[in-house]
Amino acid sequence: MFRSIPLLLVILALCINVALSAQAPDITLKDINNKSVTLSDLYSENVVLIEFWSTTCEPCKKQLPKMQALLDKYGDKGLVVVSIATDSARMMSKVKPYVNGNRYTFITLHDPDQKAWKAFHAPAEPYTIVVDKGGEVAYVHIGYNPGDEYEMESVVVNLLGIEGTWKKLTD
Amino acid sequence: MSDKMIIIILISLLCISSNLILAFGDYQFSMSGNNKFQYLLVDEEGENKGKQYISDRLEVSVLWGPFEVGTVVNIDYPRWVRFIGEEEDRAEMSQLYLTYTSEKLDATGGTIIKSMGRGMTLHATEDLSIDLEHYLKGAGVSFRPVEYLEITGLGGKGEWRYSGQEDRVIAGEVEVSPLGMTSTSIQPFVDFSMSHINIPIDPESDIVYDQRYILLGGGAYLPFCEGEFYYARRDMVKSASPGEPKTKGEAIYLTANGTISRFASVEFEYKRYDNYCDFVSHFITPPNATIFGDSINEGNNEQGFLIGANSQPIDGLHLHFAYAFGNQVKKVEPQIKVKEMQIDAMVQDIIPRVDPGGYLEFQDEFERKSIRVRPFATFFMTEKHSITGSIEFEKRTEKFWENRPTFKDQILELEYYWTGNVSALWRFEWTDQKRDQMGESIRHNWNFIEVKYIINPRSEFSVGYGQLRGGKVCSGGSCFWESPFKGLRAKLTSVF
Repeated sequence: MFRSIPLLLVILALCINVALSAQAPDITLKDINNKSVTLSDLYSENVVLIEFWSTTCEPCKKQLPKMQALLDKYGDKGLVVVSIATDSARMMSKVKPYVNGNRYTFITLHDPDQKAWKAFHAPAEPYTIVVDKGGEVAYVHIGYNPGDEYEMESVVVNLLGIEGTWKKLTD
Repeated sequence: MSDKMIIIILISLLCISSNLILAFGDYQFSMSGNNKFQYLLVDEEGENKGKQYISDRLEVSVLWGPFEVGTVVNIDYPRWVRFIGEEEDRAEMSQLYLTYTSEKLDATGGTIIKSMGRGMTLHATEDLSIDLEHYLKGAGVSFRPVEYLEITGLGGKGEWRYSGQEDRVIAGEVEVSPLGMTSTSIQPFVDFSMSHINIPIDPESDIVYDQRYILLGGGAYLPFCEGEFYYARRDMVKSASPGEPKTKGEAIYLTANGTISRFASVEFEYKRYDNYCDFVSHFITPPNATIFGDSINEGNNEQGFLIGANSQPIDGLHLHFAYAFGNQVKKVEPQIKVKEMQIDAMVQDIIPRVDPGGYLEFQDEFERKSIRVRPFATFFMTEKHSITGSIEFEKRTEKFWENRPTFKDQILELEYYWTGNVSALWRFEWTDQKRDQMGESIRHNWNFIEVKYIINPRSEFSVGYGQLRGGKVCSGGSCFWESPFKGLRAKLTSVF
């Protein structure tokens, strides 16, 4: 019976292949200081950059400093950076020391029960989403390779409606 | 045309689509997922030429106000089962759920993914990185009458994928954060949870374990430090056979972290698990307090600690150090000790055009002793063109073999990346290992090259030629498990 279900789902998806909207999910998670954070509170007036990561993911660790750099540069212009740590309940104690030791000041949330992971339909780590001021998903990116931050920056600059360049090599 | 081919064509067409979200008034229909289609054009051994590998995950849900009904479907033709090293066909509706979400109440019927007491009283999860489905089918409710109190209760059945038994679970948790409603930076909390897990080893013969887990934990989060302490007990309510003693066990887990004046952070973990888990306790997974996530016996007879430090002393220099030690609570033969150490360094934006880094790891467990070094560096030709190179050296001794061989593995990787367009990977692995754990002779080198075209941020197409040993492979900026492979392949992956 199950063999026919995916086929039907795919056909259904093709029949209605129209993208009308992509509202970002509203999730409440606890941050690394045990305080609740509701994502929709951040969407309302900001461009929100979200990265799913974990302490065992090496490409994620290379991307986090770039997310901090974007926050440093555009935080006062309306960019909010949220990192969502997917470490399970048995590993999550390593998240806060890692974030604090590296002096990251972006919001870091715990997602040990895959609540946000599931709501955002994340396929792999790192997974980056940019949400515009209307709360809609404007950009997604899977994985991280050196240089991807420039593409993310151009998306952020465009959504913030400001001119911006971040050319490390020519600075 | 077979079902399989229809699925291939239709799912491939989905690569050009994205954001499958439809809103009809108060209703919102969404469909997402990811798929990987791989075609073996040439196979060195000639057995698998023309073989297709399809791996899909479809997530479909309908939102209506606070209600959501959804399902997750996994399709694999075939799937490489990492733990048993075999391939199997799979097409199944792995999750089905109905949820209600409001400010004070969350309710779920169907698939439940939930941890309680840091995994010490319940750990129902789905781990995509190791392809492990381990969740419950049942019902659960979380109630938050006030901002500083959350009460959770659930009940259901769950089967660990490779066990063949279906555990019955009832669990509850009360979490109190008395200052959670205030903006004070001091946040104490108390966590009380318990679960009752009935494990039918052989229901036909009435061979059943009945376990009860009770946990009390607490701690406080302060501006520059935090600490947590958990104490848990396990009681065997019913043993598998009338003559078997009803054993008891206990677990202690504590953590303490601190930040030193924005210069560095330090971490400490301690664990002591005395007869707390056994081989059937699949829904209980206490914290590891190890570096590499391995554990010598998964919470039955182990104790140990971990100390670590993270620092970014100057902008762009990221350092990490950790050391872990573990041994047995009750000394039994063979005595097991675990020693682990890791040193990491990563440099970004300090040296013009070059970002170097690397790590050194040491692991000494009962069955294996290894030391691994991996320096890496990225060279930026322009801001959008880069080459990343790494070489890994590993020296390993596998003590569980009769002749206790020591061997060396090396992996050389070079990856060119053109942001958002193309990547090319060359991976060469060589070893002086003669035989694997099963005593079978193995090849001594694996040479693989793959060129990837990034169609859009959600889709990519790649062609790869050579051999892969199988295991964890990091390519294209994310890591995943690859099945062993020899030959020429074409691969289409997409997220929709």
